[in-house]
Amino acid sequence: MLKVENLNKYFGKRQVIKNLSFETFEGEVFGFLGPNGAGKTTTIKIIVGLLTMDSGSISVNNSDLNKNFEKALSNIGAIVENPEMYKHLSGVQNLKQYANMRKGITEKRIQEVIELVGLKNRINEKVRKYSLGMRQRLGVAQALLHKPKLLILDEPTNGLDPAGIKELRDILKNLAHKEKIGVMVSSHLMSEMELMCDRVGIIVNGELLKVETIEELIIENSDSKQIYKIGVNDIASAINTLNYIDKENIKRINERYIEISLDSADYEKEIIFINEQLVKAGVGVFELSKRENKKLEDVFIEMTKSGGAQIV
Amino acid sequence: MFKLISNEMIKIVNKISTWIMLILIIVSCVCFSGLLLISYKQNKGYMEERNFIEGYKSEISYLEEIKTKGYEVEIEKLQFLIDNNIDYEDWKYELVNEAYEYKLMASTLSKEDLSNISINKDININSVEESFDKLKEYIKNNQWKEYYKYKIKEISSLGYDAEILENAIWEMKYRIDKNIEPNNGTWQDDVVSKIGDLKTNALEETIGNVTTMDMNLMSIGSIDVNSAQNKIKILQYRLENNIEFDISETPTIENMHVIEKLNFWVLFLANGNLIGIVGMLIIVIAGGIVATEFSEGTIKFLLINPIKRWKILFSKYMTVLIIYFIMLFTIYFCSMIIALIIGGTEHISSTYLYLKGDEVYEISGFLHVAKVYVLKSVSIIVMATLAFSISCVLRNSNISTGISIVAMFLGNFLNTIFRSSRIDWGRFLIFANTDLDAVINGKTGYYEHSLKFALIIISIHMVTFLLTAWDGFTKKEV
Repeated sequence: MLKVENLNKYFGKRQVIKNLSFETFEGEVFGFLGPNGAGKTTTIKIIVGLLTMDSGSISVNNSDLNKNFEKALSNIGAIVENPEMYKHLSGVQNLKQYANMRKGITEKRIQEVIELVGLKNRINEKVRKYSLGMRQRLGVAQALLHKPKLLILDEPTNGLDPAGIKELRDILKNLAHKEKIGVMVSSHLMSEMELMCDRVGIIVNGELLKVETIEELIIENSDSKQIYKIGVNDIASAINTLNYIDKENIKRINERYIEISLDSADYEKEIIFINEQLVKAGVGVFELSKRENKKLEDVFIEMTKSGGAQIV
Repeated sequence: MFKLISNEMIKIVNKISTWIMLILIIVSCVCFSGLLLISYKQNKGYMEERNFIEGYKSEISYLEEIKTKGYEVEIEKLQFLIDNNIDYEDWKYELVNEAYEYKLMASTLSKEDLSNISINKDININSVEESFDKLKEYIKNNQWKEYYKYKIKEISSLGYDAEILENAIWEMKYRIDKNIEPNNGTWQDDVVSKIGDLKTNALEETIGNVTTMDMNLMSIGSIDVNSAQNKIKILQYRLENNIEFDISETPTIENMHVIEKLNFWVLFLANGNLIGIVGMLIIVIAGGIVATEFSEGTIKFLLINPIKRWKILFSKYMTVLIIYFIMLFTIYFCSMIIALIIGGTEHISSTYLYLKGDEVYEISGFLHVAKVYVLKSVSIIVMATLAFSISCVLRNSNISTGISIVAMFLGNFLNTIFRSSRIDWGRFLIFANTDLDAVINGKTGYYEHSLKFALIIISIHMVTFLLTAWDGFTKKEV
């Protein structure tokens, strides 16, 4: 579907995109993740022809962007940055502007898309009166109008309320999984992406760190150890009782809690045994809890820590 | 491409500012015509107030006060004018002056002096009284033909060249031949007296030139003589072809005071001055049409479509031109309607006469006004293109509009300075070439300034502007 190979881009002397390569496929939602200033929007702008690339190649549905610009772009529907529309025109006039620049968009299709994004009742109002969420919806409508094979949305959940976000998520998933179009979504909201995307690519400082499915990414970055928090009424004897455990795997947090790292392979038996030992030694256990597995957000922060702290 | 242009048109038509501009044009049309009407009425009121008899009387009381030599004769003359109700513009006025000139001489000069002059002028002292009575007789019986015959005889006797003589006596001869009484208020009378004036003026120019040694003055004089001769050709064409009204005779607003009647054509032509306002407005639009897409962020929306950028740019430029011509049409029809309301339909089917080579041609007045509009549009379109190209490069509508308007004023100012200080390379300035009407008629002030040269200069500028716009729009990153 979309194939980006060895993409490089300089702004003056600063290299903002470094040898970027990735591929998205039809029928999947591809998340393009990165902190602010990582090069997400720059990459998207190059793909939709707003910026030129310094080297590399991009092809959309097997049409090369540099060689066959019009054909490549006719496969893409996109919102870049904010969905900026002509504020003095109504929603439907904006869509008609767009329809005039594409081939074969019927009046029926316009109504269809308006219905899909839920703007039917407000579509004849001037865009000036729209909220950011409504503009976002109009942007999606505009991007979907010509039934693109690849839909690129730059931070689409910006300004949407939780219900709107869920709706958009459903729309996108539906488009990808049922209508088999490729969707590429950029965001820095990781929790959102976790729910929406099938695959993610993480970009930091213009470099693509990883492209993997959500599950892969989380499992891979999970520790081999499970961590348990144990709340006891007598911390000294508890530590005494558990002195058979390696020093590095046991940690005293405060007067009431200790933390134990257990091997993932056998952690269930281990924790039952520890509990028995403590009870036998007369230590009262009031809490025994497993720390939650890592989420994409943690993975992301971990991965981008090196360069993400400062905008380069 | 058509769809792109219609997109641009929709964007502009839906802007409130566009409608405000159109209303502004219509309002300025109405106001301008209204002002013309008011100033015309005031002018006319002043003309009517100025009573010639009052003028004579105040002259008499002034003479009675200062009592210069021969003032009695002077007063007698004025009294005679009052008694016979003779206006300054009457043919008899000249006659009375002439008649009393001899008498005045007789009363102020000594006999000796008089005899000296008489010899020179070949007039017998005795005949002074006689001719005075004869002239008075002409007035009493309104015998203008006899007076003219007498004058022709007198001038012929002075022994000028045949050519000069012909010019000097043409009007009188023509009037006698065609029986056109002076001051009878017909258009023929008006045309004949205009030709007569031009001929005698030209006469003074040629006689004057012989005495002056200044070559510059001489060349200017010869231009004037030329244009006078051209005017004479057109006026004679009118007499021959019985054309009552010629639009080319319509005074411009610079000489409002000579307007005798505020007719349709005066108003319609005067409104052509409002094209400058359209020029300003179209520069604002041209400077904004690309730049606002950038400032509003909608340029992304425009450029993510599978359309080559130059096509979008071209459609925007075409839209500017279309809007300009819509505005121009608005002014044209608006002025026409207002001129009809105020000026009425008198002379409405008249034609515009112009000279091409030695032949006189006629074109419809409406066509002529349209031609004037188109010729005036050249400089406006050049400036609008400048604004357009700057806005493509800088992507800021304020700066591009500002620069273009400043360039327009500064350019015309520079052009005036260069022309008046005769710096010849000033002709390469675009502003010296955009007034095609002046170029065609050789009025730009530069020697042998041809239309071909002007068109080349204009094309060079236009191509440069458009290439800059193209480069700024298609190559730069969004």
